[in-house]
Amino acid sequence: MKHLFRAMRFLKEYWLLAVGMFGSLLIATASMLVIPRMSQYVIDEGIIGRDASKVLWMSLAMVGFAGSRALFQFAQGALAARVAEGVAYDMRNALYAKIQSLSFSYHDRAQTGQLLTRATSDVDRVQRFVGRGAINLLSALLMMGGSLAVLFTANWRLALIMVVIIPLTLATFGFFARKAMPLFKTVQECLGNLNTVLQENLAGVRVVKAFAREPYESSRYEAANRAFYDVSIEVNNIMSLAFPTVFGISNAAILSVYWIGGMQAIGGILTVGQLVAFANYFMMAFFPVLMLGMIVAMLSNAAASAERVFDILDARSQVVEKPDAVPLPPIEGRVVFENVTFRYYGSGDPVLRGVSFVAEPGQTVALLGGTGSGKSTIINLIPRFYDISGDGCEGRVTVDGYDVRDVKLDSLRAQTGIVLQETTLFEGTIRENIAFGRPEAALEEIIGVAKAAEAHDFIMSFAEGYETHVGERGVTLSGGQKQRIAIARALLHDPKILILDDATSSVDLVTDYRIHQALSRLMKGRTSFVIAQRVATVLNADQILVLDNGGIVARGLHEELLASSEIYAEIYSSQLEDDAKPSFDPTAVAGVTA
Amino acid sequence: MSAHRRSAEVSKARDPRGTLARLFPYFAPFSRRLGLICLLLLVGTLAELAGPYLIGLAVDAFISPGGSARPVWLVALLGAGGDRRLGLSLVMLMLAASYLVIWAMNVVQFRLMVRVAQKVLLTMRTQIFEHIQALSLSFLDAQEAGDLMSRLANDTQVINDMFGPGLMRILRTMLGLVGIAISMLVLNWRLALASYAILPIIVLATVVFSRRARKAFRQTRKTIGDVSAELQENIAGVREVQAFAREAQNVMEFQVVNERNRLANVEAETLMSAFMPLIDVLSAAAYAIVVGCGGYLILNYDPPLVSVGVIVSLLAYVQRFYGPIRELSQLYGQLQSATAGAERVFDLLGAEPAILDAPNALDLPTVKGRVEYDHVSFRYVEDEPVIQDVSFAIEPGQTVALVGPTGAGKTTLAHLLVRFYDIDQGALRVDGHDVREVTRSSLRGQIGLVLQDTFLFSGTVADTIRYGRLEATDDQVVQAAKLANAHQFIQRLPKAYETEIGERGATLSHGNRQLLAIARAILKDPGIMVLDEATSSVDTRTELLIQRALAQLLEGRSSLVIAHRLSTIRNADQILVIDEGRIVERGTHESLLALGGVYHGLYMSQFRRQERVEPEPEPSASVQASGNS
Repeated sequence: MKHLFRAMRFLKEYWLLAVGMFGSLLIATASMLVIPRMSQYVIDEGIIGRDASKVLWMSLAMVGFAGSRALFQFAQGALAARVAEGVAYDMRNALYAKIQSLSFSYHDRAQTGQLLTRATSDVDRVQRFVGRGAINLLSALLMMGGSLAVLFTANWRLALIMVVIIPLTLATFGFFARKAMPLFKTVQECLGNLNTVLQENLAGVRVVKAFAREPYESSRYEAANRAFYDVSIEVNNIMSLAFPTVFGISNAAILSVYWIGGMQAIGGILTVGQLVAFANYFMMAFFPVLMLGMIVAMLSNAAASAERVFDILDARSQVVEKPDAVPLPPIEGRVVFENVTFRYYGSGDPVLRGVSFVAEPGQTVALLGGTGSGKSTIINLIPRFYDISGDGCEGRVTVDGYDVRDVKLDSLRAQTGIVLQETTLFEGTIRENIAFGRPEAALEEIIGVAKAAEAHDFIMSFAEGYETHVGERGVTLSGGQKQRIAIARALLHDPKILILDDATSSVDLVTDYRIHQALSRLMKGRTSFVIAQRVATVLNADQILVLDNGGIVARGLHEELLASSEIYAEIYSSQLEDDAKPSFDPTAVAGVTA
Repeated sequence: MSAHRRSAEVSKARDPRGTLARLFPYFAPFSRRLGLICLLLLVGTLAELAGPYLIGLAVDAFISPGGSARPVWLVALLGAGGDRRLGLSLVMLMLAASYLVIWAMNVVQFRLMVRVAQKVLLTMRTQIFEHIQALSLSFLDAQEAGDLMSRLANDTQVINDMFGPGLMRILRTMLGLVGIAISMLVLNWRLALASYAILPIIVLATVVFSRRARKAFRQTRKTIGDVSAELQENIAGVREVQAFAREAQNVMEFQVVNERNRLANVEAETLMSAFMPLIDVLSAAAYAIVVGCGGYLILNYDPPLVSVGVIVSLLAYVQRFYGPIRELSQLYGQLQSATAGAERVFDLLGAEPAILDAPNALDLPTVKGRVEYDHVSFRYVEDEPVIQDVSFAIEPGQTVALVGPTGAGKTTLAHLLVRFYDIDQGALRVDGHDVREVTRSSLRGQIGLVLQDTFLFSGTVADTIRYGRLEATDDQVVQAAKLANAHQFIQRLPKAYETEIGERGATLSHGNRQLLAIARAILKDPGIMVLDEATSSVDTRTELLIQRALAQLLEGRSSLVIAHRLSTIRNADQILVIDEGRIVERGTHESLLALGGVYHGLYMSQFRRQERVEPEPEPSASVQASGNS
């Protein structure tokens, strides 16, 4: 609930519109309340009182009031749309900016689907409530209050019926809601199961077919389908009783008005016109009760959604720019780790323990070690994707003497180029993807870096060249092609510090070779950190850091390490084995080295 | 980069009538129940119509008796002329009875209708699922998985909403409208006709509005689609975004997309907020017409052409008239999207499974493992041959390695063997049986397939391994896991073999997933193995385990391997170098090297980089082990 009130604060921007909306609502409600009174006059004074001019004028006045009600109702609706959509717009912008700014440690734990749902359907629910539900609630209460007031002043005995009917209706709503709500959850769960089976079958269709498991999968689906059917029927049985019953109550109310009112009319207390007007007011007072039921359901949904939205908006990014952060001037590229100990947020053991090293400008540093040894953590700390702060973290990372925590993030990252192993390309053209970090780059520059990255040829083999669309709805690129675009993308920055994961997953040998060529060109003249997967990388490195369990266990050049470090020897022979293999083949080696 | 996004699909049926006609057979088995529902609807409608009539009757006969146009017999029956209060009570009891009937009819018909609709959906979903399973991969490849998902999940749901309660509501409102129109005419044709004057305007307004509203709402769906696409992409790629310091630019781009969505919504909502008041003011006008003209008919004629009670009845009818019109315009939109949904479902059901068992297909007997590709040609799309005239044979127990650049057709060759696709020319034989002449289940039951991206179904670890052979005992499962070197890591999982994995369970590393896939294949114990060697980087130890497990798996079986490791290649009995769908070279590692052709080039390009590597004097133990005996 408290989150819903916070969501209301998004209305501040639109207070003028909201006031207009409220004013329109008042006028529309007032006009509406007048109409039954007019029909009463027409019947009693015009028709029964035999006054033709009253009949004419009152009928016209009725249309007039209906018109004014319609006009203000429209105004209210149109204003509400602007307010609600404005709130949704602001909320989405805020969410988007927040999501973009949250550090890697947040995204490590967050799921894309979750974030997406919150930014779309949860915002929608909050928006619908803030923009419309709240005003509907107000409108319902006003209408109920107004018509009740009219009813009581006109004939309090008849009005007493309402005192019975309203709580009765609300109780009925509550009764059915309590029975149906838990089932609604079950329905969602069953639907989820059904979709999971389906999704797995679509994703794993090759496996299903390869193992000839169609009948088994069918029976799994059939079971989930049946369960969904059963619970749907159960829910519907409740609903089939709920709605007619609520309407039955409203009918009972009308019945009692005519019955009791009719008796009064016979006794001369009430006129026919008053009776008709009364029936109308009754409907007016009853309708909001129905609406209240719906709004309450909407309210609890919206409250839950608001909480989920603020969950993101309140998330604190681990990496925050200092208020007095200075822009990092153009750098030489000297990177120093000073006794860095680091642990990921919310996890137990530190992943880096007292790591210190210096990378001089232009040097290539090769990082070696098994999974979980801390290689990736080191490269993630340089552009400050994670912060060395919080429990159990120590030391600092400096670039040209600047602590990375003291400079503006933009200026640091703009001078750091990164090629990740898993390359994400974005919806758009190849050109836009290469220009990802510098959207204003000229085509010549883009072609230049594409050539350097060995990507130009395959790009030109597409009919539309650099304007070829990639991403979900564009052409599909192979892993090797994506990687080369990623290299071009990093090159365009002309970064002084370069970080790369030189693994080339599942590409053929020729492509592999060309990627390697591109990479070595890229590293020239830059301080490079490479998570080494190939022998060649290690051989060309100015410094090799061997990591194990978060610490640097050996450092030096290839020959030295091969002689001195047992761990290095093992890693070298196993991890880099893929490429190194031929060299161990006596016949092959003999042929070349001879 | 969203500016280039293609517009989202437009939800409108191309052939609504044909689609609806195809839906009918689903409802046919329930024709008796549907007949009953219609009967109940009719009774309910009559009961609803009785309401205003009875109220008018009460006014004229008992509350305000004047010149009465009521059937004298009914009034007499109720004992009119005597006690007015008793008469009123009798009419009210009749009214109560009619309300009770309405309630009962509603409960029963709703219940019946939902049952019918859910049954239809149950059938439809099963049918779609079975159909998808029967469809060949070439069809599924062409579809986006998300699209198929939405057909099953959303489209059937839309159909549900429409043909469950929706259809009933349409029927009821239509019946109600006709009933009200007739009742009004019977009560007083002059006033009825006068109030009908508003009708054409309402119909016109409804048609115009709903057309524009649908267009506007379609626009909102499209723009919200763009918003979520933009979000999805940038959440998934947030690491790149931050690495390239592109946040500000992205926020700007997002605002553009977001703004479009806002405008589309404001427009649609504004349109909608104009519609309801318009209908309301028109119905108020009809109300005024009844009152005004009714007054005129009473005051200017003697005897009056209408009674007060009739006016009261007519007013009640008029109020009931315009609600349904409003509802119908909403339901019409719903009907449209349901039809579009149904059409997409039928599109899918209409797709022919390209690969079926031949009518006289036999079960493939237990294989020895001789595989023969005999002048095989294949293409996915017309005029774009992928495999051209490929011939080779795998003798029982042999390993054949396929090498070549990406897109050469290696994976396709492998997929043809398990008959994921049917070849266009030539023949593909296993132990002399053409794969097209045996049942798919017997063929695939004897071929093990380990794919590059290992897909695991949700379930326990044991379930996953047992996928290869459902009837396998627990011991056999553990045995297979041990052979695949997976036992160790499984033991370390929280609940060992009973640990849930998959979407909602524990996540396994890439390497461990591969080990499980190998265990699965080992348990299946196929005569022939098809292996797409994955080279995604896994840590050293796991890589070693995988290598050894694979060696275990290939041992003694005929194998077709899409090779990425030189070690595998060198140990193959035969190497086929594939380029552009053809075999360009074949032979053993040594013979191909000696040939000095494409393979030599491939090998040397890899090799030259390692020229400076000095041969290690004593290869460590792990190297020997992984070096594939």
